[in-house]
Amino acid sequence: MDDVLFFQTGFTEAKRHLSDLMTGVVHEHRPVQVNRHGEKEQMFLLARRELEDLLELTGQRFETRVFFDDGEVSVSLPAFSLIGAGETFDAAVEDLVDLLRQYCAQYLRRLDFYRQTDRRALLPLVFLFALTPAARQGDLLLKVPGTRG
Amino acid sequence: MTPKAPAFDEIEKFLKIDGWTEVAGSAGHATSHRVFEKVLECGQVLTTHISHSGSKSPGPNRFGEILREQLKITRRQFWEALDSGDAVDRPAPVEEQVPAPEAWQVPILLHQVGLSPDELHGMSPDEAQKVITAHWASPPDDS
Repeated sequence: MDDVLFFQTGFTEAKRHLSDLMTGVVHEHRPVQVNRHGEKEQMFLLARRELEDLLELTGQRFETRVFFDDGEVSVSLPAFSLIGAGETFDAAVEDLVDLLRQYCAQYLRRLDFYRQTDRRALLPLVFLFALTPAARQGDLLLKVPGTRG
Repeated sequence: MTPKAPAFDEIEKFLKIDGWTEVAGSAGHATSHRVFEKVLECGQVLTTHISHSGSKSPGPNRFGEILREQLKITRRQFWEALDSGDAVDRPAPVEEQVPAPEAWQVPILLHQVGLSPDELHGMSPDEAQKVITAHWASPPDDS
């Protein structure tokens, strides 16, 4: 019995038919597994839309905690160990979004390192944040649980 | 008495004593923060960030959260490390988490329910949810 569920192709074949392959992945919503050196190295091609759905369906969300000090508001994101602060709540959220942007950029640069640590668990949220347009990244932190993005 | 919170210069001094490394490139990033990491033997990565304005101090509640969620030590261990110049023994105990509402709840509690920031202090997400639900379930105010 064939236990391969994904459509598969070899690296050389994929290079030759990249345009058709991309059309299938993006427009026909058909993920592809590309193999090199037999199946020793594998890469998956997935449309952005499928990846976004996948991340949303994990149900993970940015859990925050808000603190008030004299003249200062802090919004903490414990899973990422980040704390945004400002004179107002909006300024604190904006600061946290900036920090998260900085964190996600360096996380993706150093993914090979983080995937070997406890920070591996952050991968879905880092991808979700990175895939979200900058103007809507703050909304992720204010999202009401159980609602769709 | 409100517990003392250190200036960011003192937090940076602590990070040097405790063996934290600045994440490359964070100093030149557009945000006003520098990011530091410490990797524990168990593979756990600790992250913290300090303001470029070293003379500024975080508020006491924010500093409590820095200790709990970033440095993962107690207030006493922080000041002892600064005094002694010795790194903290890890794993270290952390102070109990203070209840705090979630960010999505805060605009509702402040602007719809009409609570003050002081009234939100120490409110857990569950308590906040009950207040929000009760507010939404109540008839609209005609006055």
